[in-house]
Amino acid sequence: MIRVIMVETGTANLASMRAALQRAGAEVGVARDAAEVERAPAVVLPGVGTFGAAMRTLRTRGFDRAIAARIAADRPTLAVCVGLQVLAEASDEGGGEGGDPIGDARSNVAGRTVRSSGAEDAAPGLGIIPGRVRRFGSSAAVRVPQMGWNRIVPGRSGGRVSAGDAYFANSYALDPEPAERAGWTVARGEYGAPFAAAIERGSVLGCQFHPELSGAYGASILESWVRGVEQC
Amino acid sequence: MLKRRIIPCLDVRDGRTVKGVQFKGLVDAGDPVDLAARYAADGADELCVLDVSATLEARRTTLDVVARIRAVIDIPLTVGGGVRKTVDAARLLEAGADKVAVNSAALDDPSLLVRLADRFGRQCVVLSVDAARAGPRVGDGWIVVTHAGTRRRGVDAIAWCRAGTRTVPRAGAGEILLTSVDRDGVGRGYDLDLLAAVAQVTDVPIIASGGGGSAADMQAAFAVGASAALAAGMFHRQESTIPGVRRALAAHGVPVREPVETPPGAPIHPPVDRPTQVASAASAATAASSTVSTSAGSGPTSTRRAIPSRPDSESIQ
Repeated sequence: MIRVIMVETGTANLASMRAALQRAGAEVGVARDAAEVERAPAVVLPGVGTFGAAMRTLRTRGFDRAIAARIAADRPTLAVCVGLQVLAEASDEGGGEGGDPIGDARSNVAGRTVRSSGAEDAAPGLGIIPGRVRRFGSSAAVRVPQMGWNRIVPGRSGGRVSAGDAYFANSYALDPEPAERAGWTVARGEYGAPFAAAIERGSVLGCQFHPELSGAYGASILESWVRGVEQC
Repeated sequence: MLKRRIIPCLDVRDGRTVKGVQFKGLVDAGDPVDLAARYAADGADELCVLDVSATLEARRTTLDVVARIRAVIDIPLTVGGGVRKTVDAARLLEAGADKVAVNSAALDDPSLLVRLADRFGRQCVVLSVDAARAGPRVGDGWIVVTHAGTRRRGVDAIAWCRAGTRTVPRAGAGEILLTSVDRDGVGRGYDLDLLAAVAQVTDVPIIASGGGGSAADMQAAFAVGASAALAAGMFHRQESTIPGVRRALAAHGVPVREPVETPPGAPIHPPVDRPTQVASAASAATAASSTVSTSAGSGPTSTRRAIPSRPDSESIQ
């Protein structure tokens, strides 16, 4: 049985991801140290919480370099929601305080309090996927956070992520184009504007949606990812 | 396009599902884990569990119920009831909730919403507001009530929805569960005036609750700005099925999710961890609901209601 290691970011509940991975046929553990994060046959970076808080935890425990190294080596890695966002170059979600910019007024980046002038200010991510994480522009039709099921249009070069409805809970998302130009396969969603719903390359799969909460659609993606690990 | 959500709600007390009218006269409505599995298999977009237990001991039972529900569903689960501190929310999330709903404790201490959003992210925090009409006219507004509708808080419900979900100076709740106490369990439709008023003052998604008895009621709630419609009795009593409601909404142009059918030959989902009796209850329910829904078309989901259709139901029938 494939053993999948989950990376705890301290803010996330892991119960839903754990249950879904078990249903997909995997045995699930929690990462103990950076060496395990770098070397384990399969790692999940689950995504609940905020960009700043997730980055702080990854840096504190040395997981940032471990994740970069395992992705560079194309080891099976699944990153979900904020877990995908931290792979980007930077995020408008500067702070670790709440799921949204604190009125674009105050933010807290990697432990230091900074004055933010709004979207100009960005918190750095791991820089593995090119592009920046941006906030959805809210309006009457585009309520933020995006909360619910949205349509996914697969990337032109195929990939594991097929067309279907998946569950999202996010205020921020990656631009699709920079990742696509860099050779990643990008599935798109639309919420006021197009955004990256899933980004994949080789054994690395990043989902802005929550496959663990996306019914049979999400389950089939998790099963396909776990099967891919078995073949590695 | 983001789909409108259909959310069955389980009021849980001492480990059992209960349902009342205007928060009173609770009757048993079955095992919550069986019901949750059935609704998830039927294509519910999300589930809501509200703990209406009165004692701390019963709340521990609810943690167990949440854990058992999490094992058998693969859709989001919101849990509310008795969340007074960050640690209460943490326990529910560890047990398997994806979002926590906070009600009276947030009124007592509004900073609780900010603390929860800081720790778990705003998308994890649902502000649950029970609102009652302050007078017979729309202009009279709504006030917040708590403790199963028994305690009037002297707080304007619209202002509270705005305050609890703002992002300045710090982010609060990322969603509102808005329940009309006047309509709860009555099946006369959601309080559309209330929904419309709250939709104007906040950018976060709103879950309409209290009074939903048919697909037509849900369509009306979506039309005034609700992102999701919560219902309990209409599903528990099997007056309506989720596939029937979904078809009725889709037929009237409401964007709803297309559930994935498990393809022939594919492994049965979920393949492990589901207790036998739950699996059989879920599949039996699925079979039963598909029988009902083939004859349901767009209308009969509401024809068995005890209360006659209101004029605004006509649009969907």
